[in-house]
Amino acid sequence: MRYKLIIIGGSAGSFQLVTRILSKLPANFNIPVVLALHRLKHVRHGFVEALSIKSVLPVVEPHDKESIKPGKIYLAPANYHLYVELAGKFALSTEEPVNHSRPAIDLTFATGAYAYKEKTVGIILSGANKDGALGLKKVKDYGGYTIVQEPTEAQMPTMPVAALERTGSVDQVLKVDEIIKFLISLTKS
Amino acid sequence: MNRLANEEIEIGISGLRKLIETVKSHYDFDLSIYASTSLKRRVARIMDHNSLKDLEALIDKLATQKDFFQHFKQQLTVEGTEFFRDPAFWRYLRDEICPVLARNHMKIKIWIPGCSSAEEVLSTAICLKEAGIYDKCTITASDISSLAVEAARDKLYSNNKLEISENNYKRFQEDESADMSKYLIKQDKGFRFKEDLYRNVVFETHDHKNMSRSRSVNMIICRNYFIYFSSLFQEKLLEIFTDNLSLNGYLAIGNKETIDFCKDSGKYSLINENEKMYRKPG
Repeated sequence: MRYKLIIIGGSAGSFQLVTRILSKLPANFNIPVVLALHRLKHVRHGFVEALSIKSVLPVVEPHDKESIKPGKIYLAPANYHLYVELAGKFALSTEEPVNHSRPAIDLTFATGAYAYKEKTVGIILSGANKDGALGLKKVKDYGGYTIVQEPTEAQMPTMPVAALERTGSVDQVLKVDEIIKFLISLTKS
Repeated sequence: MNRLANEEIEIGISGLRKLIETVKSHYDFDLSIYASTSLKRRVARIMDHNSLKDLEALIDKLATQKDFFQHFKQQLTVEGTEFFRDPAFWRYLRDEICPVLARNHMKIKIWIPGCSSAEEVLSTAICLKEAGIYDKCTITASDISSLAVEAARDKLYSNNKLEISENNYKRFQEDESADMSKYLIKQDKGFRFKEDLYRNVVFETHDHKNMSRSRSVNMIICRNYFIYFSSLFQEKLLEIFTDNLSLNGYLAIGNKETIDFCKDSGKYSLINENEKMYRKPG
């Protein structure tokens, strides 16, 4: 299997997309998925539960220094940055917000790309700001696979467009249904 | 936007290793106990703040300017971004834990390690006031940086922490009209806390190698401090806490931190899972 980590970033307009993606991933999907999604900083509960409803795989908010394991969906917890460490573990941080965001999509993407290099898949979905653009570029710089949601399909195209501009050329610009097909194909190859 | 936010400063493993060696040999201070990603980000931030063009320049400055190390340590600490972070935790502390402490002890000793710019210290002080037990309490607030600790006393906080903190306070009180202003002195350039809140607070420096002092404290509030350290040092920290906590003492950590990965975790019982409050059984 070529890829070991999938990171999905999104903000406004991405919740339903993520729910749809999770509903289609089969029980034997064995690449860990990290969700870096903007969320209300003071609402700690409810998001995992909402994402879990349609997900076949377990959705969890990782604890600090928790090992990254296949078969799980990891959601960046409220009001923390989520980092991926070289040892295949998560680390959390309460450092100042980046791009007015905590969790900042850029940081999860950049640290994930650094740790997993060419074994990373980065996907940017709908959102109304530019967080994630630099992160996706890092995924590309380290040899990972980059996907951006087709901006015309995104409810908020700002984030996909920014990611496209910053990264230069991404591997694929896809509609969400195609992203799902791509993800499922990964574990079959 | 600064360079750090753009992540344009990349620090490689070999450079980081050299920095760690330099700080170790010149100052007998071990940077390897920090979690690597946040350490790299802090170091990049320090380079940015001091207009140092690369890691070599930082290493050189550390090796040649003794005074700079104090600033380095201060800038290494992560400043809190808000007061009353996780309002439900503070409500739980005030309404559930404070009454138990008051019932069981004439004098209550609280330790807040890694206090940085004292956001947690002042939130604690206000909680104790509102629980009516402030006068029985001594809060020891400690950090590695003497400059940070000195600055924490009577600190002027930037106004960009005000709105979020005031909103947290309303959530803490579960009352939209609740107003934190009664504890504050608002000034043009920021806000301070009233002197009365500092009365029973002792600020001091600690040394990572020598944090244990048989303090026998009744509560350690240490939220989002473990996250900045390696798994190995987390292990050590928990041992230090175990040594310093009295029987039936409380340990509060961040809501996404866990002590489950540490050997000493068996010495604690988790009494509130949402707020990550542990107790060391009597």
